[in-house]
Amino acid sequence: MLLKIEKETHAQMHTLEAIMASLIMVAIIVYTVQATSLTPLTSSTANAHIEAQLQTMGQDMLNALSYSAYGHDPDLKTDILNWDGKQYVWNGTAYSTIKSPIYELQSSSLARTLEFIAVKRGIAHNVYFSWMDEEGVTASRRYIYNGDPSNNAVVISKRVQLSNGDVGNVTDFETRTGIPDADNSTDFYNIVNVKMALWRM
Amino acid sequence: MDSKGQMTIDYLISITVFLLAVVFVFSYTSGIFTPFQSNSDEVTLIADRVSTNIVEKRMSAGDEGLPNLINDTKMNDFFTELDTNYEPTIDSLGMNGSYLRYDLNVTAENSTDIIYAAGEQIPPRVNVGQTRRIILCRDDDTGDTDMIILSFRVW
Repeated sequence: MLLKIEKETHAQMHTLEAIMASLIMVAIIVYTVQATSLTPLTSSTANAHIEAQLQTMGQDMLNALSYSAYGHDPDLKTDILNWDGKQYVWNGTAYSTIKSPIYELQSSSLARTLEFIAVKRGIAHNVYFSWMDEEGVTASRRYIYNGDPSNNAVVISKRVQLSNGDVGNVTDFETRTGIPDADNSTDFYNIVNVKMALWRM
Repeated sequence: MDSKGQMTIDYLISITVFLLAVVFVFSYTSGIFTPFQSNSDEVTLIADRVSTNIVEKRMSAGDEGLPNLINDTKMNDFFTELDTNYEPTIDSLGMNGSYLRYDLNVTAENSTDIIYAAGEQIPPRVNVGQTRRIILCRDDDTGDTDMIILSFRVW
């Protein structure tokens, strides 16, 4: 016999050995990939406490900002009323617009609070204002934007009611911010949902 | 000479055992060291509970809509008490059970400085659970408010 086939009698065994070896190799690869791909930003049960902590901090911040001292307007409401409709970003020293001419965010208690709490602790944050128009269509605009939130970001929201008396010049406010009067017949203006997204860098 | 292509039953059994062993090792090695890792689950829960108790009950200014509005006299009293009567305060917070006892450290920080700190020093190499609360502290006489960060550390 030229190929001497009948000399090799353990064909099945070699196949099983090959399967075994490849199984071990694949298992090692899977194991290493799973072990190393756990970054601090990977959403998992391990950072459930960090998310709970961010949630508490965010809720505390928005609660504190909605306190009306001496019966005045709460800080959060004043911030919405003072908003010029622009999107601000933290540039390392202040909240400012990106496109020139560059404006800095002036006298915003929301920005001051975030600078004191979130910026100092390396917590990335976005703030959005959302509202409904007369037809019930929801619209949302960014107030402070620092990029797309990661998988483990938490969102905290607080609703602020505006009346025509608060707004003052209604047409001017609408062209500036895009927040429309949801009911023209009454003194009710709109409800703004302040949404804050917080996540760890 | 053994000219049969079939494997022996012994070989099949041993391979089965071996493969089961491989699968077992890979499914358990990932969790095998977990008990020895730093783990602050229980102290974190205690820190959460203690912080809620202190902020929303002991120091609270009593505003239902604003649980984190606190009275500055009450806050001052709490820090004095924790500083001078540490053990009774720990007992009153339910941190002293029959088998386990936990320690507490609380600090208050405003935008510029640490204004209060009380409790034990944190020893090195322990699992510490921390909860931060952001509070609005109201001065009773003037009505002025100040934003303060309270850090509760439990171990």
